[in-house]
Amino acid sequence: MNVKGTQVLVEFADSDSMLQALELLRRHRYRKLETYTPHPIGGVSERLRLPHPWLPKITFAGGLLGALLGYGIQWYADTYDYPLNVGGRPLHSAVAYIPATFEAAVLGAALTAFVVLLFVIGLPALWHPVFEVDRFERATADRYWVSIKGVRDPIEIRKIRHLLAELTPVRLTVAEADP
Amino acid sequence: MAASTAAEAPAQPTREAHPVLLRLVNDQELTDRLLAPLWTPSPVWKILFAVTGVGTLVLAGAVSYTVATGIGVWGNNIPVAWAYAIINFVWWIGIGHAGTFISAFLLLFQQRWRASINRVAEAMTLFALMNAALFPLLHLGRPWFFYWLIPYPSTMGVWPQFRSALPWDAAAVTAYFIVSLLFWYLGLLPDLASARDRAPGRLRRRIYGVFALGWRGAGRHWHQYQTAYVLLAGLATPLVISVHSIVSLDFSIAQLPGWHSTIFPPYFVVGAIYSGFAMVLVLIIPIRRVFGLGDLITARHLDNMAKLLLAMAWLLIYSYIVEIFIAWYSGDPYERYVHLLFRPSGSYAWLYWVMLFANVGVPQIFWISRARISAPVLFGAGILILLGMWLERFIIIVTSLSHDFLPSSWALYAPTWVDWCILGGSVSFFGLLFLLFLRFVPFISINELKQLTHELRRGSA
Amino acid sequence: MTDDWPGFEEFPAEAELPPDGMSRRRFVQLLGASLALAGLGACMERPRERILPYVTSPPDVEPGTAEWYATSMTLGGYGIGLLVKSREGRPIKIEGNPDHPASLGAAGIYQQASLLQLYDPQRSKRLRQDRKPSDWQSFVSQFAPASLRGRVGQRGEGLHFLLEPTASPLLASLLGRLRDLYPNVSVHLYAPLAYSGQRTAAVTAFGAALMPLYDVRQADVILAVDSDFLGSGPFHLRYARDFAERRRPSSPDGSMSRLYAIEPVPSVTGTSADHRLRARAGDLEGILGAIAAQVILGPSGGPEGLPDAMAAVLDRYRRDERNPGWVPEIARDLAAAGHRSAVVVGESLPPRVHLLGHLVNLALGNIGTTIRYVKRPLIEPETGHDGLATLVEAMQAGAVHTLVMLDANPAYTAPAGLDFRRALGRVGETVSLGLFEDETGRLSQWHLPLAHYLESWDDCRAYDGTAGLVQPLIAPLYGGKTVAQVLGAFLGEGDWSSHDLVRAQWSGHWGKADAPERWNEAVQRGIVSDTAFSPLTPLPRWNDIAAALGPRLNQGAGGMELVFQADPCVYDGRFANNAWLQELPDPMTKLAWDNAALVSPATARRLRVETGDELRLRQGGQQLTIAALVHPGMADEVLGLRLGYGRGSGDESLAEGVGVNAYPLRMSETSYSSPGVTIDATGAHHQLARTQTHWGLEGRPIALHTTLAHYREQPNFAREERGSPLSLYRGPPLGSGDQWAMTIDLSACTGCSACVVACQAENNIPVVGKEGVLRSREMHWLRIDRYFTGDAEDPQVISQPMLCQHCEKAPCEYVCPVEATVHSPDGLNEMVYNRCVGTRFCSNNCPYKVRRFNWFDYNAELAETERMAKNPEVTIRARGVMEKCTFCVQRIRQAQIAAGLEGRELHDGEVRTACQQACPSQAIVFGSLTHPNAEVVRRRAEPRSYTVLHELGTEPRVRYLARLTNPNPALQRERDGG
Repeated sequence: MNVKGTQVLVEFADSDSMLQALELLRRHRYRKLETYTPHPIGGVSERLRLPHPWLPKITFAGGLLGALLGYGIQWYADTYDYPLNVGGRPLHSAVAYIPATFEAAVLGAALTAFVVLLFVIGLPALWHPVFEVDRFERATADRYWVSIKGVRDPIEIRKIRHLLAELTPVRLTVAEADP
Repeated sequence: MAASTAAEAPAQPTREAHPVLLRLVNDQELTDRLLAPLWTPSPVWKILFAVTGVGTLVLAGAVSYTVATGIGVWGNNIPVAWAYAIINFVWWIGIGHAGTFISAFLLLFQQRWRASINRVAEAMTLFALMNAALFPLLHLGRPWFFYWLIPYPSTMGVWPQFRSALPWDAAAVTAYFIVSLLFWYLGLLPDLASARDRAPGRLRRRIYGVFALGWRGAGRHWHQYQTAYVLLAGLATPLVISVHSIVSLDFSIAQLPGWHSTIFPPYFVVGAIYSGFAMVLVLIIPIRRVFGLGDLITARHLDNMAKLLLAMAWLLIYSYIVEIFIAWYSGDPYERYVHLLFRPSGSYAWLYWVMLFANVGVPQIFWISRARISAPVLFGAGILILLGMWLERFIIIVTSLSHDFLPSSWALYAPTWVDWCILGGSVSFFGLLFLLFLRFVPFISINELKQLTHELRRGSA
Repeated sequence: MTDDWPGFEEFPAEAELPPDGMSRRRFVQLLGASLALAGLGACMERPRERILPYVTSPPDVEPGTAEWYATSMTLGGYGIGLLVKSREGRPIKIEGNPDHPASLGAAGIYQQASLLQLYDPQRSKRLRQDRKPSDWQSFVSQFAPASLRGRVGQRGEGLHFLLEPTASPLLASLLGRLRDLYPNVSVHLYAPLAYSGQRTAAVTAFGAALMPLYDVRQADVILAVDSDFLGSGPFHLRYARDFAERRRPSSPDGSMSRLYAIEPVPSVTGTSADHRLRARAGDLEGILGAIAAQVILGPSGGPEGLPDAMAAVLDRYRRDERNPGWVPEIARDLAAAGHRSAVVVGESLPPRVHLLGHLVNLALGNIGTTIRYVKRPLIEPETGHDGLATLVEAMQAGAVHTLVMLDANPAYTAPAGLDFRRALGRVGETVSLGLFEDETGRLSQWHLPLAHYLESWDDCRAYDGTAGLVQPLIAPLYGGKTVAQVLGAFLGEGDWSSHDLVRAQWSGHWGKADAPERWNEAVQRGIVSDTAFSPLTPLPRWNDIAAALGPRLNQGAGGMELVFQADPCVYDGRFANNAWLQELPDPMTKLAWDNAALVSPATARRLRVETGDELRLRQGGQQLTIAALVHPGMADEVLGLRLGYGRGSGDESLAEGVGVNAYPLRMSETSYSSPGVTIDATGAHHQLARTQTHWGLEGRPIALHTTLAHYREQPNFAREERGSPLSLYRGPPLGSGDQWAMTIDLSACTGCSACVVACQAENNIPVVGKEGVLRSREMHWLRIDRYFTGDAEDPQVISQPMLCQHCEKAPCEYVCPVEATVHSPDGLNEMVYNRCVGTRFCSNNCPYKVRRFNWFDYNAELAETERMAKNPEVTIRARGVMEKCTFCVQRIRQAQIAAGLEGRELHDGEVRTACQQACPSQAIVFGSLTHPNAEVVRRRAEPRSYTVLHELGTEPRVRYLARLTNPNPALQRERDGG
């Protein structure tokens, strides 16, 4: 198999040993780490050194855009495109535009958040190498997996196995890494 | 088994009388239990499905008849040009508020107990909204032109009239539905993955696989996911407030006595959440019973819901009082007539008093702590409150319209059989959608529950 | 639009454009198509003879593509002059003829609604003998003198004619010639509402059949004794116009006349009076007698030279202590007014009351000032009142071989006592001529379709004798014949057209020389100039009068009293098949599609019945069950019945089963009131469809009203209710051009409802039927609200026409989500049907509730002929859209286009709305605020002008003028005291 694109997958029965495994691996200079867990585990992000997400800023921008669009349409339609005397109200009835503008803002923000999220985490991706791994489906039930990428030679692998031994991993497998 | 597990998992240290979870089930068992209903439908489910199915056909029939003949087949008239359709609209959309409130609000306030019920509540929101959205379309004289309310550069060069509350309404309901859907689906993603990985048979695995979008619980994903989830919650929270505020403007921007009141937005929001909680109770109590989830949906949940109901009831009572006081204090003869004379003593007085009993009287039983955890009491109260809230909308709409400014144009309103079929049908339709949800979607958030047990274990350890 | 009505839906879109040839062609195509469907090619056929448009267009109409023709409609024997609007050969709108003395430009509900009758798909369409279809020729040959003589005898012993009393010169001469041909022919003049009291009294009093014509403009004090001279009758349009002139002081220091009305059942006149006094019909003689006594005898024993017999009679009346307390006060007021007073006695009352009326008028010297006596225009039967009773006797005696019933329906209208139907069985051959094959038509061997007056040449006389010509606007749709033509057939002139008959009549009258010119002039103007009867000086025969009044009947006998009246909507039943009139709410009770037994609240309490409870009435062996309707203002112990309902067993399926037929209960063929009816409740309940169910003003500033005296003290009592209230919005500047506005004078409005029908006809307003009214879905753009004030038993009544107020800050506009209702630069609140999606939010937010919604496709089931009645200048509304008053925008735009073509500004009065045009009392005025001296501007400036629900800040363009009454202070005190 393509040695370069391999990864070592270690399965744990509980999250704590998984977290310790992460600590250990980092201490031994393993950088390309990833976890697969049935539910979010506090502390994983820090141990994986993940940057603070910038999603909120994009979302805010999306909301702003929605608001501008919402108000803009109303203002343009009533004042420029088709001005009409409606109940003797001013053509530019700012107060009446607020509700729709607000809704547009929220909708814009929410859609942005959702779409950008999927983009950032690269979903949908119906296939992934880890799905090929035996018993990996328990990663969505009750098992906690750690993946170390770019590990090639058997010695290295044995070293990892030895390293994580006292954390009593359920099993350790070598799999193809994501392209 | 229960006893042993109870021993194995000591109730977590907490000041509340009732624990959030009776016992901390291990993840494996939890997953299997909560996914089990997806693989094998219960006989109860089949019966209910048949019943609601028939009801839905009735709805379809009544709707087709109305669209083909004209809404003259309803009881509406001049002056009472709005009636059942709008009552049902407001009622359903109100019910649709609890879902988001429970998920988003309680999430932001880190009320962990929400985990057991938020999925049900959110689904309820979506289905209530789908029902609600039916009525504004249906009640149009020419429903096939509903899209004229949407701003788009039309060949006629005309736009919607943005000073009217109805386009606001359209915007609000659309936004609310989309955001609720996203929020619900995002929360569902990890559980769909679990379903994919547990599903017996290729086909189901494929289907759930597609909806799971290939979720694999990677740490990097959870990292972004949690941020997004909180963001959506943060957005949904003001939204839920805005939606019923805007619905209330459908009435309060008019100058009709009984409608033209500034208390309306908060008043409506409170009423909405109130009825929504009632509906959540009416839904989760049977679920808890049928699927034997007493250990996951516990007395704690019931107790909290009951307390929330009581709180909402008092906010509602306050709104009632303010509304009536201002009507009197304004000195406006028309307002005074509607609030102080026609509603309490006019043609629809008995409905008015039934409403007050259901909305104001019934919840007071929750001062008794035993009542708060008694499923039958909560269920009964929920039904009564739902009825009461429907009547509240009837009173607001029909009494105000039927006796407005010129006595010469006063007239009463009476529904026709078509009105009843549509109301009953929409309830069945709601039931049908909900049953489908129970059958094909993990109706309790598995991953959040695991997270919860996880943290509880941590706490107890 | 899937639900649009093909054809007519497209057209009106173009009606907004100048009516160029293109759109007209297109319309004719469409119409042609629809007619092809119905196979009614004949509909478009113009009359063969030359018909002449109205000389000069009346002020309210710019010809455009429409043409106007003058004609007359005869009702109750008398003609009322009309102008009929014609588009593409179809009459589409009926208005009054300004030159005609009985109209002065106004038109009543019957005249206007007769248009729908022309197009009624249930009209009789074929001439038949027994069951087989026949034709005119065989009818003529059958009844020409040659063949008929053999059957009815040389002198026509067995030949009987039955027709309505008529004033037509043509019919008079035809009947005369008929008598020359058959010396023993019997002509029976009968109509269920043709009363003889007035004539009998005149003959007794003056030895001649005179009748009084009133000039109410001259009268300061008027006493109406059960007379609805403002609301019904052949001259009421004129009277209402004249009366209103004295009822609307333009300033606080103006004067008003005072009207007393004494009547058992509230009428338009009674509710317009300053004092409406309730009395049983049986007591009226005593009351008027006492008044006469007061007036004539006065404090002193009366004028010298007063015959003793008369003095005795009057004294007996005076000493009658049963008379109500207000009698002396009325007498005093009349006496004070002297020769500027008038006593108007109802046509339906017995001779003795009429005699007393003559007495008072003579005594007060009203002759020559407020009253002039003229000859009765009606043809007078040779031998007394040769009516239905004598005919039925003859029939039962088997003396009738051939009975010819011309435009009469005795099988329906005859009282059960006469049993006309059975008598008919003993007649050799029966002929009926009718617009419908009605109850009588069904029973007769020969039935001939009658030509509608819009299809006929004919003539008539107005109430004041003015002769008028009837010219057709359209060839007979179903080959109908006129009464004259049928009479002609009996004279052996069966081949004469109705035109030839009329022309011959008038050429003979004028003498050949100047005939053509005069003919053309008469046809064009609709009247024959200077034919009004000249006033005669009555020579009272005091002794005869005294003798006639001599032995006084013991009146007020026998408990409950029945009063039979023509229905304000369907008249004597002949309009029962007319949807507009069925849907038109009774001006008094607001009851539609039904009749009921009216009882006063007190009587209802005594009988323990409520509105809707079914009563069983028994009298003279007859009985019927009818729903009670508790009606404030009814005299106690009186039960008012409206005639004309309960039609059946005829072709008129619309009318069938609507209401209850009250004719059978009548004692004689024209009895008006009869005491001694026994009543018991059946326990059953009947649903009455009323367009209004709440009568109180709830102390709200809606229909303002006050007395003239108070108006003088506080001229600005209405100030609070007009002007611009505080507002956040200045509102956008209105256009520079005309600014349309309307004023409605509640002092002048009698509530007669002519405007409602005018609006319905002009604007293609659909009817919704009884079910629709029960669900309060009536479509009238203009309705007349009726409020009671004061005493619950005997309230005062205010009628308030309510239509779109065209608010400058319209609440309906800003709630419409699709800009379907917006404001025009010239101040109209516009409804854009094609844009409406039907949210009905506008209706909810309209404080006046004048918006109407198309709950169904109300035009789906129209017959082709009914479609022809539609006004092509107004859109047919689709299902699911809102509609409402447009200020007759089509008239405004047409006038503007016409003015534009002539390159000039519109002048005031050039645009008149349909309601304004029809209003007999000119209560409605429409115009532009930009015309400095426009009538509408002047009226808006009056101190008593106000806007309804002013404090809502809607700033309506419709202003009302508060109702003023001029009550007698003495009686006012009495009322306040009691």
